[in-house]
Amino acid sequence: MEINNLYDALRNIQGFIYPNEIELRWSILIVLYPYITGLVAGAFILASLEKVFEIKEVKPTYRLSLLTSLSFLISAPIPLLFHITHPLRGFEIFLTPHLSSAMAVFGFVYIWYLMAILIIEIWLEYRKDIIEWSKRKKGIKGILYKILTFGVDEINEDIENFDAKFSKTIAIIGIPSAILLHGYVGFIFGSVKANPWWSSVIMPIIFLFSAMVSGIALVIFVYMVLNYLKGKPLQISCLDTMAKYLLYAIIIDFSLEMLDLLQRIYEAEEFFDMLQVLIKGKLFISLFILQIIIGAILPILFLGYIQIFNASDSAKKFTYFVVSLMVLIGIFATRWNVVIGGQLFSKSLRGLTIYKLGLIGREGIYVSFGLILLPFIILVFLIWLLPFEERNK
Amino acid sequence: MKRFGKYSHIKRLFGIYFGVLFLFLILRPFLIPKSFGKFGHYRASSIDENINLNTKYADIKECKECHEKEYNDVASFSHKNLNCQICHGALLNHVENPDEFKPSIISDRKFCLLCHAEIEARPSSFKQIDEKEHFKDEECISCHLSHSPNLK
Amino acid sequence: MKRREFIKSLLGFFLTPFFKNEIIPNLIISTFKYGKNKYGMVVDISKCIGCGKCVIACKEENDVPDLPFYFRTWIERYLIFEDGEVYVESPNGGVQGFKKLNPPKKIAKAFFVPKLCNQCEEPPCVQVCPVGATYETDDGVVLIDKKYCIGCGYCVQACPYGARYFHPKTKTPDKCTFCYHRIKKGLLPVCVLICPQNARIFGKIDDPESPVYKYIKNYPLQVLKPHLRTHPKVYYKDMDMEVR
Repeated sequence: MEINNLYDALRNIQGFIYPNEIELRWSILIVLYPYITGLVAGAFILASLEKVFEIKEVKPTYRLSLLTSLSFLISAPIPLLFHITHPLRGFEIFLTPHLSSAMAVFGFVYIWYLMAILIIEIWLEYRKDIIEWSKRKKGIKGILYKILTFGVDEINEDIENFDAKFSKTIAIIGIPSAILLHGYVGFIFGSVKANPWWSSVIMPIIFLFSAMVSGIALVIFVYMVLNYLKGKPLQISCLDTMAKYLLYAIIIDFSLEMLDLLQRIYEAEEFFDMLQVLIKGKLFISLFILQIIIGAILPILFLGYIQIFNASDSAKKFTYFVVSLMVLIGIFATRWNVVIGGQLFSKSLRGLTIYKLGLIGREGIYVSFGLILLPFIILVFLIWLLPFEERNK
Repeated sequence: MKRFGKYSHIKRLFGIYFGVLFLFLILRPFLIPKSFGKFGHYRASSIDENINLNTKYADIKECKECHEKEYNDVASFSHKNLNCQICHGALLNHVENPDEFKPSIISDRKFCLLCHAEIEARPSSFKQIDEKEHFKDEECISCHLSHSPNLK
Repeated sequence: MKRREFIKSLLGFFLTPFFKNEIIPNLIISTFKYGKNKYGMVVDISKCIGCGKCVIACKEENDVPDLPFYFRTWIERYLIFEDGEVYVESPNGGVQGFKKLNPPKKIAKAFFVPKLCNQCEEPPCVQVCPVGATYETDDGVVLIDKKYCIGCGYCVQACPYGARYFHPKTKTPDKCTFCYHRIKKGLLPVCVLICPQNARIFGKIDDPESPVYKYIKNYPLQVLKPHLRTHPKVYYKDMDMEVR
């Protein structure tokens, strides 16, 4: 935070805080990072529903889920690079990772997931098309396709079968990898014994399930928007299946979050008084309104109604679209409550500071908006290069 | 027509991957700072960097060499054992360059009150006065010598 | 060394049930044992008068910015009223002393608590650094390598005592180092040197000649947040139950 913001915070402190706690170090960029990696993991797990569990209905979104996952994965390290004050030293995480720190595994997990899982998965899925396009297309696209073939420009049934098997193996390994990619972020917070709001066994699990929720919602959203822009019809069975899994995931995620809250309220440890102050005050809107009502309860009601009582196609499409947006907002609020909420109160449990979110600056609103738009821009590029329509296989 | 084996594409892909990994493993020892890992998971030369910082505070025995009277004054009365630098600030500069760096001489009432005003939480065994009552328009040093603060 | 100890403890863990009637848990570790040749500090709360000279001296000595957001050490004032309310404050860390408040309620007890980095024996800040930019030396002081730090801020989050702050010039965390550059030359940390009440006592924990050893031996002492098992090496004498 800049000096002016710090003087502001000084004027607005409530109660007592340790003097060094005035500055809230982990800003909105650190809210964005778990949000983005959550979307990566969730979109990938949706894709693996088709590949590993052979749920045929979601096949129309298989390629789209993978591309969405990749575009968000590429954008994921950028909020981190913007946040650390010596980004040029960032490569030290690869040179001398301190393995007792959960944050140190970022380098390995990220590279592993990007290289060994996602890129191979996408490459194997598109290889047959790439080889054909490399021969047909001209210009920049042609060059890019030729590079992507690695020079192997022939394919036959044997190789195709092998590709299919290998792809399934990668998808199976990919599920725990995706879990690790986002789970370690949950562990980063859950293992901080100094912070009673974060320190919890259930934190990585909650992060994971909210990641799945947000990932599925994102793919629904992107699928509907893209097909609308291209004027293509939506396959209602695909949407129905995705919405069903979204409902299951929200129910599990919501139950876990409420269980955590219930346990804290029941055990009423030292943090209990501060917890009340937080959720009745600074976190009231982001917790009750955004995370719980808009992010969980209303989606459960709408999706549950459709599951039980059915509805017309157009009503369903409208509901799915609105619900996916609500969930995306709700999960962002979840991340906000964890990251910002955990830094608002003093570790003396006697007071609160404030978080001032500026407009400009490296950690301001404009940059954050840009970082949320960036993966969509990358996705547009990826779809231009690797269209996701089903080929006649 | 080139004939590719069943695994050619995989071999090429992994060839690239392992090539990059290999390159990284070769470069890594050159990129890690030399003293890293000597005593633990940190750069050992950082210990010396932390030791080789300049101090600004002197040993008050050095004050005695030039200011023996004041030193003895302080040593005998109720401010005994107090470090000169409590009131006169960091003095190493002055010890090294006595003419260039002159420490401040404090005579302001507010300064004495920082320690001796009666405020909440101060242990009652400590000498403190009610600043609104005790000669509130006078300077402390009109009656108390700062180095030997019993009444003049 | 560490690997050998690890294998020994592993073997011990599995073989002991066969050779001993009971496993004596190594749970009761006294300060003397883990304070082997390490520096420690005792803070005597009953002596502190809240003058703030230690805060001024520390800021001067260690180039801590003279702003109310950055402190290597600070003073807290606790006022415990007879109706049970606790009022805690630390105006600008105590650097300009404290004011007379004249509260309307009657005070039951009140005291000052100097705080600083506790130089934990099992520092959570060291555990979470992703690159190895902070560490504990062999003589027990936790230091920061400002040339290697990437500025992620995880250590600031992990400190239970609020001892770390983000230095605006080096753009890395900073904290009390027990004036390592002084103690390695046989001098005292400046907060210890300056305190008019000798409320801060410094020395080696297990050296029988050191004042710290004598305080540990002769007085009941406490540490902050012992349930977090950080094994702090700053010990408080006459600390009240309200102190966090």
